[in-house]
Amino acid sequence: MKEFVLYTGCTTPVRVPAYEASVRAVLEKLDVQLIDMKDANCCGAQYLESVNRKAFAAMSGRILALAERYDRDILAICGACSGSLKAVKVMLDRDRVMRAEVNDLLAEEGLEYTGVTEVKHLLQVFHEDIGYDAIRNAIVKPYSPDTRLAAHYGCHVTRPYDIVHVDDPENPTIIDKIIEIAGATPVQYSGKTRCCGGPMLAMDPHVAAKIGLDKIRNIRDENADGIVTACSFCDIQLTQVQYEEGVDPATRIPVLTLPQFLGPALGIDKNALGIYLNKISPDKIFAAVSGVS
Amino acid sequence: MVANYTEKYRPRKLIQKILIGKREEVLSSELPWLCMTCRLCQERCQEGVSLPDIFHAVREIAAQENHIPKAFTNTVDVLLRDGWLLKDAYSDFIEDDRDALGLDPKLTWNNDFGEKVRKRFVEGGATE
Amino acid sequence: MQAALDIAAQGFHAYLVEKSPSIGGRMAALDKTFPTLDCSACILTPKLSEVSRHPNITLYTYTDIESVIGKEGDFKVRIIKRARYVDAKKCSGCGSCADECPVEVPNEFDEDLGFRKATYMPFPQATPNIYTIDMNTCIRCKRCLKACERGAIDLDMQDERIDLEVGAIIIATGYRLFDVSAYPRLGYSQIPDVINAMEYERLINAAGPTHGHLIRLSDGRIPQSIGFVQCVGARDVNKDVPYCSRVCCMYGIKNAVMAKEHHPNAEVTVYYADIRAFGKGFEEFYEMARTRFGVKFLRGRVAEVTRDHKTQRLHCKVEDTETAKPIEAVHDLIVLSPGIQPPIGIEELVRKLGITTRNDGYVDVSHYYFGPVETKVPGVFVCGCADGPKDIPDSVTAGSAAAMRASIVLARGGRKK
Repeated sequence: MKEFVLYTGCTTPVRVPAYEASVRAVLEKLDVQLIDMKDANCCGAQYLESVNRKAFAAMSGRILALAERYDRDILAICGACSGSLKAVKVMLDRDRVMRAEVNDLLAEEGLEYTGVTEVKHLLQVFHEDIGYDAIRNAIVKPYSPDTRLAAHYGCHVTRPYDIVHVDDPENPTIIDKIIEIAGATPVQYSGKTRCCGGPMLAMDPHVAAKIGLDKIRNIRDENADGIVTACSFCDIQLTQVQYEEGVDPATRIPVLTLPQFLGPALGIDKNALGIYLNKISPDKIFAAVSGVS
Repeated sequence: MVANYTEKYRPRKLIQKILIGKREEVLSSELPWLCMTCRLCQERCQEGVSLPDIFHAVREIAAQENHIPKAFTNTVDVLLRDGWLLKDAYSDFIEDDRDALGLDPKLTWNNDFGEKVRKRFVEGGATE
Repeated sequence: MQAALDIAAQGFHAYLVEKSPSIGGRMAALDKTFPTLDCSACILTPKLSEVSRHPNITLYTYTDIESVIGKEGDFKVRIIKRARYVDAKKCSGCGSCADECPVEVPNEFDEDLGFRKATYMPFPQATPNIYTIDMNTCIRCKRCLKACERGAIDLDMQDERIDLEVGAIIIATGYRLFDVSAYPRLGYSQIPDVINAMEYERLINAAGPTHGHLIRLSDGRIPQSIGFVQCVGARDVNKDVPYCSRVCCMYGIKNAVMAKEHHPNAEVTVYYADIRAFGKGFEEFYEMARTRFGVKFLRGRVAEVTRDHKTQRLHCKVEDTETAKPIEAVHDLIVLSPGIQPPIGIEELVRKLGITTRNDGYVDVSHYYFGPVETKVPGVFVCGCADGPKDIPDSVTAGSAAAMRASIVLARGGRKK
């Protein structure tokens, strides 16, 4: 029975609450307990990170220190948060001066960063803490192998390897393995490890859309029925980009977060997973699963 | 990756500009902000160079000299003021969605720390 | 081999111990050598002959070193002559056994592109020119026994341990090619039309698995456009090979020229980081490749190779660093030029001899400038690629140098071997 303190990040609870709900439902089924982190703040990914390094270290550092108070490791479900927290942890572990400065500010609340907390992304928890065998044993309603699904890992989840240690960055397999265990067929496609384009939205939405659409095109070339993601931003971007000008609505490929995909196979009710909130309906994927309402 | 999709961005050229000392040009341009930090280059670089980290450092210097793209300034302001990013976007509809999913519609974000961080680390620098 | 010949020429005796069934090393597998475009086998085989017939050289092939004790001037080396299940004195190399043998396995000499039988001769000019039976794949059907007219097959042969007493030891164990499947983004081992340079040599070699026809491995078609990717597994800190491999620029250009010789109308491009053409005739060879043969050179390290499903052609993503344009070049065949690395088994040999290696795994020499062929253990010398990448002329030079240093030890008295 593993316990983690859940850090949702800013975006997930508001933009993809279904991801949050399905994470809770699936992890509970697989015997992992989650404690909510109260009084958290934004990790500062991307924006604060670019503008002020110390401020960034302070924001993410506070989250790491809060986890110490809960005496648990952190589960981060958003890719950007996972990348930030892990990078800041390395930064604070190595840079004594910065650590002292951040701790000085944290001391005002009685918090301290000492480095005992580990940060794990959802994929790590599936792979390391739950294990493929436990997942396999919990499958009650497997998908049909005719269901072809493309995995999208996301950049901040898998790179840089020496900081995040999640999966092989050039050839990641965790999501593909879970797709396979659940009975469906994982599909390889060109540019599997490329970015979804999300981070580009701030500076140049046009380029961001091109990047995202290229990825969709590569996936469509492999006749995939759906895309499985492990990061909130990727999920939003890969969905949103299919609503761009020039994309034929009939060709839209549904996008599912990993726990939304795994849930029905474990016997969890689709409504509890928020499937109805997914913008592009993934119904035809579930049609193949026996007896799911 | 970005370089494949737009003419204006070439990381190698940007590094060369930095190396030959075109300080003003680099800091006042949008080029260092165009890196997506997808880290594909970092993962593959055969000399072990991390371009995203270099560009992050350049961005910080640019920020100290008040060259920040609007999108970044706006976001950082909101972030430090509210403690998290989407307070204004958290509508009733989404609250209902959360409720329907069995999630707590009340989000417990901390509101003070952002201001503290601003005062301690940011003031005298960028987002003013 | 050069070292052995030089030692023998002075009247000393040399024992040449080779772990594979034949001497000749990598050079036997090459097609043409740079920069002269000499046929590799043609210039090598006279040396093989010389070595095998020299009265002062005893050749032990298919033999490993088990242990070494002693010191300079007085070493005792125990070697294990592995059983080849063929009596060397009786075998004439006629090949009747191989004709009868029903077992076919991938041929290591052809980089697993072709097949050999369980009883085999690595290449036609193998020295000694006898067959060897690979017991790992032999099924003991005994058809070879019946086929051999000279009764040379002995399936009960055992390994033989022999003790040698020598005054000096020279290491000339060659190199290993970097395994390019360490770069999944370049498609090797997933896309059949992405091959490495050694496989390429075997394809263009008339004695190779395709009889010298340069074709795509996926569909047998003649490639209209070929890309050569340099610096794969060399000058890369992430893969622990930060050093320059010295020979790949030249062999890459040589391969590109050979591609043009085989298919003059094909478009051939070499993707490079730098062109290191440092030796005699090298720069001229590079010029000739560009002007006379029309090989295109593009400065940029290839980032990704992918295959287009519909056209079955290969797409190469690379930045042309001279124009700062990222391009996607289309080819029918991609040849990766791997860097070279210390040979397999060097760690064990190093341990047995009590010598040291550098951080990059190569044998360490006693003095960078004045002791280039001496190891840190007196009496043990090193030459060829075992102490660092070298091309053929430099390896031969090192061989002679090592022989010279070794001869000094032998000439001082004591053992004459």
